[in-house]
Amino acid sequence: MSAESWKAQLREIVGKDYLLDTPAALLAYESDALTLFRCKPSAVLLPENADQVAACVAVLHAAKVPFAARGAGTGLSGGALVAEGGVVIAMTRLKKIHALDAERRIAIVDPGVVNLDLSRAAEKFGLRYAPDPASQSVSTLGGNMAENAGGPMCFLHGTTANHVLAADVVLPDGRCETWGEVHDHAQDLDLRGFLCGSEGTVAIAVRLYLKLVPVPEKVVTMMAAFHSIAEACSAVSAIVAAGLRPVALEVMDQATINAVENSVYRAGLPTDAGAVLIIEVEGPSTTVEHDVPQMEALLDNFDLLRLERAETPEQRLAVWKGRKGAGGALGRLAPDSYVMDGVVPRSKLTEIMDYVGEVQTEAGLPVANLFHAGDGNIHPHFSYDARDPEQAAAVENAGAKILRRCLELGGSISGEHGIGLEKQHMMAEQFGAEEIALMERLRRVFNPTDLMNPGRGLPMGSGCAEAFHRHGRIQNG
Amino acid sequence: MVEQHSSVDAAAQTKLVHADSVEDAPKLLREAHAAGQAVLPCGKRSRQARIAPTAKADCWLSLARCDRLLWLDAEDQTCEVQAGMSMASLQQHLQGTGLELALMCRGAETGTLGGLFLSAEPSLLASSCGPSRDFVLGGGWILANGTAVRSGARVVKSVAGYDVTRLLLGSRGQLAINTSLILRLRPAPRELHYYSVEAASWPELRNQLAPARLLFPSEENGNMLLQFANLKVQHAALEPVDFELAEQQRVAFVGQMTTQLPTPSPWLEATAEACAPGAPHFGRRP
Repeated sequence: MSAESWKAQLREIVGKDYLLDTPAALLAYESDALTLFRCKPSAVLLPENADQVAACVAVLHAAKVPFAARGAGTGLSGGALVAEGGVVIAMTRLKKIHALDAERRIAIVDPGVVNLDLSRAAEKFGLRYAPDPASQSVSTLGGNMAENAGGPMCFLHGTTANHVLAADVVLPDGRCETWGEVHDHAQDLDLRGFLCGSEGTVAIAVRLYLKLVPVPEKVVTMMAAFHSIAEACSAVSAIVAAGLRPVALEVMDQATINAVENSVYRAGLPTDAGAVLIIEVEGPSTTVEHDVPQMEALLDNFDLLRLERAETPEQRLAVWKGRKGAGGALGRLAPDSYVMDGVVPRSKLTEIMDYVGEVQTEAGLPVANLFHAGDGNIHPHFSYDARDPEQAAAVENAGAKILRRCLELGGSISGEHGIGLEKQHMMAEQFGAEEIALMERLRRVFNPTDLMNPGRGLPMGSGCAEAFHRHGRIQNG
Repeated sequence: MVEQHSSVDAAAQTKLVHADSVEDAPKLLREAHAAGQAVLPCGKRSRQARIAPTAKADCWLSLARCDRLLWLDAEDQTCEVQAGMSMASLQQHLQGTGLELALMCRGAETGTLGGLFLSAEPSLLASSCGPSRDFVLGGGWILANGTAVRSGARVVKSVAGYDVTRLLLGSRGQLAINTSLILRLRPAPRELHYYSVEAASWPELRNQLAPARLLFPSEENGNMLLQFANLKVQHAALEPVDFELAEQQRVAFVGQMTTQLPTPSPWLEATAEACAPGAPHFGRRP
């Protein structure tokens, strides 16, 4: 089937205005938030509903054209890029909240609904959607599910996979199924669980059935300022060891604090601190009122610069605006950013942070650290210029070194960003040949033609990587 | 060493084979494969009706004797246990750590943890702590061809590769034999508060509990809770069955409680006030 022929069929399905194929229109879809990889698709589809998605997939399957679903493009591992000649299916027009069942605490939504919009809609029922990636004001729930996104609150509430009850999906040949059960956790095969974090390689979700949680009776947010990041990490260990269960334990180092305080996300953080620890406690008043003083007493054992409570909702919002805007604030420091994602047992946080410092010195590039300390999930943030091949190579090498150390410390190469294109080469370092062979066999079961988001998440065959332009600004001028 | 027992199911002529170590299992599977025999993995078979109610096999392969704690990282609140370990045994290992596996499942005292997770046994704490499988971070498996593989990671958060753990747990032993489980633990509740609730029927109970913002994921699960409660009440002399009401507080169904004690939370007080005379009592258990 010629390209003109399948494009004509696709136009027929989505309408002529919703198939984009001009160079200018395609530009926005050539990378996600990881700009290290770029590839211009041959077309972008903007279907309006699930039926259109299924029909488009059926056409692409018949025409043997590779395709990838994409949400808001905020992914940080290159998971929503499609190889040269492929088609991006942008899900952003599927953005309806179909139902909010307050009694059963279930939301039925389109995959293009923005994460934060769901919590805002559920608020009037005293409910919210718990997973809260930093991108939650723009990232979509479908994208969150594809990458099994986390966020600060995941320390207590778990990641996206813990909150997806079921999904209506389009299979790689265009057939539709429902995976999961809203009422039954004891699912045979648990395809819903397998779908979460599968990076769009086994099915495209076109409707999600999500769990909502109650808005807590009381919330207290604290900010502790330390001389060093090591002290902040020690405090995290002490809080956890005391059996306290805050909802979030977030650390930001001095570089991050300075970037935040010099940006529109300014939160009044102490710029003289080596690191700050944001602690949020939520729950019934009795629990919070018991835990917070205990936590403050425990923090008093450290040589703190400051310990403050956010006394008003406005102060709390300011703290979180600073934390969640930190990525954006750091993005202003250089033409390009590389936000790493690795996990260590939380008892190894100090060790991995020391190592990040060593790697930073070696690479000669600025690194800022902001991370989900409660989960041991680190996010070193490199600021660099991709036009300089040496800088780009240094960033990649530094990233690989840090991830290898995460593995040596008993961790993982990704806590919430996914593997995408970025970390395929590292998969064989976390998993053995038999484990990777098993994952490949599973992918072939669901996606036998490998047209749905090909070459993502698992190590690619030799030569496939060249389909994507690394450091695109250099190669594409 | 593999110990073979005589048939345990005379009607089906099914042989029960115990693996004395995880290393035995691949060999047994390869032998069965070569002989064209169907193998059904099991622990103590206490949940077999739930795991594989209609499955037919030539041989049961039990890993109940593989019951060791492989490691416990109290600081990171994780551990790995062999699939044959019982909940009671895990609780013994956790004594003094201040940690617990936040599950409350039927038959936890008798069966193996492998069976508990493979069967996705409903947990009475699921409404606030999540379903049982959410506590499994990874594990060890043996595929049908005898290949040993591992899934997941020993950290509380990992999205590297497919979530093979959930798929294999969900296959209930039909895609792979579970040999070990990496589990997410949590600090044990500081204190427990018990509340009595009495109702004539499920809908009535549900209505009575609605102001307390408790969640019953489904009527089916709710019925399970009630049946469970009745069972315990009947057999354990009013020993309460509890499920988590909110963080570090628990509510219990106990048959009848006559003393209403002070409530520890303003919203519980409000709830108690909202209950009409004769309706369920919310109170602290002595």
